[in-house]
Formats: sequence, C-alpha cells, structure tokens
Amino acid sequence: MSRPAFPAAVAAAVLALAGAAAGDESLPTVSIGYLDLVEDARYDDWGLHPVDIRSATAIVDRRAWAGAELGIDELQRFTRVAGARFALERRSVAGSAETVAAIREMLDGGTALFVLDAPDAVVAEAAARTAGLGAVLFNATATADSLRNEFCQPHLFHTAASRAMLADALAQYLKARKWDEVLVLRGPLPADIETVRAFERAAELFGLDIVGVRDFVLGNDPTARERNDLDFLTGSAGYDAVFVADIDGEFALGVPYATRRPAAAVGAAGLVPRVWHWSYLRHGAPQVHGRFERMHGRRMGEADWGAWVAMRIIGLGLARAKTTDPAALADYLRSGGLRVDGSKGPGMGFRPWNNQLRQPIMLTTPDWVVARAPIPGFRHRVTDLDTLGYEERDTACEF
Amino acid sequence: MRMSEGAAALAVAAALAGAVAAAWDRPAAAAGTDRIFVSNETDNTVSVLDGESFEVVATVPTGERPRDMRWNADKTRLFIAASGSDRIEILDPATLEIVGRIKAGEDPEIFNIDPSGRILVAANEDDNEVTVTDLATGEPLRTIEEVGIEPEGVTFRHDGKVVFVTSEVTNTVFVIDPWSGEILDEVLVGNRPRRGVVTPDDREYWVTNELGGSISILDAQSWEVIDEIWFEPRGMRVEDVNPVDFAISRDGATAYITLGRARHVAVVDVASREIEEYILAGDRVWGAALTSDEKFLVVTNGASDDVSIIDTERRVAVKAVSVGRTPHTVRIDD
Repeated sequence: MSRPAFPAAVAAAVLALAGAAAGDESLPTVSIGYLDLVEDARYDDWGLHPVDIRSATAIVDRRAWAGAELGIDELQRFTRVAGARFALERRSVAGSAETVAAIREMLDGGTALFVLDAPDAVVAEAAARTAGLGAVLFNATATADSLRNEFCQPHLFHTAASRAMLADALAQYLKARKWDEVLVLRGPLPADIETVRAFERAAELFGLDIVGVRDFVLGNDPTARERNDLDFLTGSAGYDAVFVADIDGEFALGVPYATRRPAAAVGAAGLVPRVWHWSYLRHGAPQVHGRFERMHGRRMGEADWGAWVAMRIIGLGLARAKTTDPAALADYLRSGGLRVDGSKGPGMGFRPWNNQLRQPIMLTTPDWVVARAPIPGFRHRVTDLDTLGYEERDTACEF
Repeated sequence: MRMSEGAAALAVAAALAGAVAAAWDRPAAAAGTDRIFVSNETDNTVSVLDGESFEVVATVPTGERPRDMRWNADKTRLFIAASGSDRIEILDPATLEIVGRIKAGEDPEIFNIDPSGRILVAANEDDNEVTVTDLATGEPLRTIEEVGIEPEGVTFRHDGKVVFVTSEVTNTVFVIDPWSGEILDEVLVGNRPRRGVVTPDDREYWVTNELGGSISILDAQSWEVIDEIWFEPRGMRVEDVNPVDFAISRDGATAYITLGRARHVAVVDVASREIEEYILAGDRVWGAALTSDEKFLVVTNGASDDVSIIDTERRVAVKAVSVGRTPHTVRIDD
C-alpha cells in the first residue's frame, strides 16, 4: 500500500518527470519546476526507533512531492480551458546554493514557475538570489515569518501558512474557550524560538496571558530535571493550557496528559494548528483526500496540500488571467483577483502586501479537526481571514 | 463490498427492468398525490410531507446516501439517487414503495432525465464520469469519461440536444451531447460550479458558483459566458455566500437561488437579472422546488435538518418542518 520512503542515501541530484505534457500538441507548454532537498531535517526519521512514530500508520514518505503529483494530474485535465499543456520536473538538490543553481539552469531551459519544498533558510536564500531573473516561486512548506516580512520578495508566493497565522489560529481558539492563562514550553532550536515569538505576538493580539516561558531539553539527565522532566517544567504555576514549541516534535509527544495541572496541551502536540488534515470532511475536502489516497496509498498531509494548492493556483491563475506568461501570472496573483478553492471553505487569494495566501487554519488532534480558524466572532473589516497573520499595517515587507 | 452490492443491484435491476418499462407506458395521472418528498442524505430515508398541512406523514427507507431526486414526465415515479449504494431507486409516490432500481455508474450524485423521458444522465463524482442510462431497460448506454474533476450538476437544454455538466474542481461547465457521448466544449465559469437551470425559452443557462458567491449566465446555444450576478445579502461576507440550487417559475420570469451558509434565498428577475429580494431560510439552505401553483417555495436546510416553506407572494418563510438528517433535495407532486 504505502510507497517506499524517500531514499535519503541518494546524494546526487534526483530528477523526476511527473507529467510529460499531454494533450493537444498545438498548445504551448507551461513547464513547472519542483525543487526539494535530498536531506531535509523536517522529513527525517528519528532513528532511535524501529518505527517512525511520527506517522500514525507506517513509515511513509511525507514529502510535498506527492501533492505536486496530484496537482499535475489534475492540471492535465485543465488543458482545454487553460489553453496550455503542463509539465512538471522535479530536482532534489543538496542545499541553498544548489537550489539557486537549479533555478538558474531551469530558467535558461524555459521553466519560470517553481514550487519549493525547502526549509526557511533555503527558501530565503533562493528567493534573494533569484530576484529579477523572471522566476516565480511558490513556497509550499516554509513557515518563517521573516519570509513574509524582512526577507519577502515580489516573485515569492507562499501557499504555506506563516508561523504567525498558525499561532493566531490557536490563540483565537484558546480565547474563545476562555483558556486565557498559558504556560509556554520552548525547545532549543531556532525555529522553536521563532514559534514562541509568534505565539507571544498572538497572545498580545488576542488577550491571552503567558504565565511563563520555560526552556526544555530532550533527555534524562538527573541534574537537569528542571528542563527535561514535565513534573518540574509544568509545576509551580497556574495555567489553563500548555503551549509547546518543538519543531522536532519528539518531546512534545509526551506533554498531553502529563502536565501537573489539568490543562490542554497545544502547539506541537495536543491541539495542533495545521493548514490541512485528512479528517476534514467539509467543503469538498473528502473528495481531495480520496483522490490523493487513491494515488499515493497514504493520508494527505500539510506539505502535500501546500504543493497541491500551488499547482492549482498556477493552472487557475493562468486560465483566469488568460495568459501562459509567468510574469503576467505573478501580476495577476498580486492584483488580488485570484480566488482559488483549496477545499477548506472560502475562496483564497494572495495578500498583496506580502504574497501570503489567505487561508483558514485547522486546529487538529491526531485524528480530528476540532475547529477551523478564523474562529467565529473574530472579525476583520475586509475578510475575516486577515485576523490570521501579519496585516498590511504591521507588515515589514517592502516590495 | 461495493462489488457485491453492485452485483446485487444489477440482478435486481434486471428483474425490475420490466416494471420500469411498464411505468413509462402508464397514462398520465389525473391528479397528484399532494405530497412533498425530501431526501435525507445521512439518514438513508425520504421524508414525505403532506402538501396542505406540510406535516411529515411518512418516512421511506432508501439505499445509502439518498441525494438528488427527479420525476418522470407524469410524476408517477420519483427517481432517487442512492449514492452510497451505487444505484438509482424508483419510488411510487402513491404507494410509497420502492418499485425498481437502475444503474447509473458509481456514486451517482446529481442526475437528470431528458425531456423526452428516454435517458437518465448522472454525474459520478469520484470517477470523473457521466453515465447515460436507457430508461427503457434500466441499463447504462454509455459512460462519458474525463468530465473534469468532481462532476456535479446535470442540466438538460429543453430541446434535449445537449446537457450541461458542472465540474466543481476545474471550475468549468462541460457541454455534452448525451446521445453520442461527445464532449462538445468546456467553459471556464466561477469557482466551484454546482447546479444549473436553463430558462424555459432555451436561451440562457444559469449556473451557481458556490465559492464565488455568484451565478454565471451562459448563452445556452453558443455557451459563451454573457453575465455574472453577485449575491451580497446585507451583513454577509462573500465567503459565507454559497449559491447551490435553483427553482425557476414556469413562465421563466422569476428565479430562486439558495445561498447556503448565508441562510437566504435570492429572488432574481430573470429578464433584468436584478436581485429583488433575499428571503431568510435555514442553515446551509440548498435544495429548492416550487409547488405547481407556485404559491410556495420549499427549500432544504442541510445544516439545520429541516425544510423551510416560503410564501412566494409575501416572500417570507411561513413554516419550518423538521425532517431527517442532512436534507438534500426536495421534489413536489401536487
């Protein structure tokens, strides 16, 4: 049933052609490049375990490529209306420099649209070093707020939600439940520190009270119990919820039901904000899950959704703007005219001030979507989706 | 599981093919049963309401996930898509017995019967197909493949020559000749097109864009997009306005469009395309049908498990009637 995991041992660039352009040969071909890393820590197995316990079912390849494959399959049925054929080429490379080199090389070959499944720093560098070359990049999985602020680029569009959007969604839910007092447990990685920063911003915005920020480490050192033992980490404080910032995720697994006080675990465990979850049953989502599972034999995850919706945006954007020109597509996306259906409710378009896709956020347990943010009652003067993430008035992005 | 059920349905359909054919030979009934039929998608039942009192008088068990329903020409048979059971069931509205079953591909959702009553065309959402079934035999005539992604609405032009099928995911309408199975064209409309209606003069095809908060209007002969109407009930955000289904008066003057989460039904003057009114209904209002005297519009409220009875003269809901869970489609015989 499940596909083999991505062969991490492969060191050289991997090249895969998912969709050779099909259909009427008189139509122009729109080529889409897909870039990811051979070694990406976000997709690592933990190694200590005989099974990868981060997956609910089995060891599976969680990479966004599966979503792109569903996307190109759907685009092949969009040829007649888009007036174009579509081709998708994947390259898996070693790091930032190789990502930039691959983009430049593919640009020379006539490919100008790229979907990136890469960590924050790689996306930032790739975008900075390809500015003005005519490439249009879609960031499918990197969540750093800096990519939507000081490191933003006019040719970089984000289908992944930002950390701020994820934190705002959670804060709205906690506020709606009146779980106002929150203890924060912070991991050691830079992404954990940034996640806590996003949550602190959200707490300030929505009126939560952070009763403390405590740093944890993963381990059993008896002399460091105040940092590795949940009895100590969650003791001597009053709180309604415990927010865990743990990009690695292994420590977070142990937090629910293990706090000193009866409190909800949220963030990296317990109630987790995500852009997509396989248990969502409204707005046509079951049909998307069905198509994905029939193709890949596994559940559709967040990364898959980010790549799939990027492919949808490329196809629908070209058809709506009546063009096959990538630059004209980018102009159209920035104009705010696009409304794409990502099967999670409202039609979604890009924020013109930072190229972030507006979107609802799912608040999930391992097997259920508990709520969908924006939470009813949190209103915005234009669209309630703008209660999530950086608004025009507080963005640090300057195109 | 599906295969064996399908095989069973096949056998039953074969056995009942004679009964189906017989239904078509019957003369038109003199008077209707004065009943309102509502399919309850999650309960696997059809609620039967009295046409005068609007009270529920019976609940008929059906196959799994009953959704769209359509009448034969003289309203002596009600066809019910039992999507989860991969078949269409045939109800006698007088005896309330299921008297036949026919095949219409896997997971038939929305379907329609051609004006001459010879074929039934159903959208098969998961297979991206449309199945054309011969009503004389109850057997599929042909399957039309590659009809976008998640085909849904099926609407005949009144001359019966073409059928319009919406594809929710590709945001397009397929124009299909059901007699040859040829796809004549594909037209980009608004986001997530759902259901359609053709004006009685066969000049315009209207289609709801569920995510766009609008309807697209196409020339029914050339299938060019000629207009779009946006719905903005006061106090509603565009993301809450989800147009789904239509009812249109016999003279083609007035169209009623259900607006989903916006809990309202829009009343549109067809000739001027002006929105005359928004009528308050229930949560996720979607299915709609008019009584034959057109004094009442009955709409299903998918998220509040009831139907609203709307007085079309006063343009206000006068009654809400609880039915089963997730009421989908309403059809009236009076």
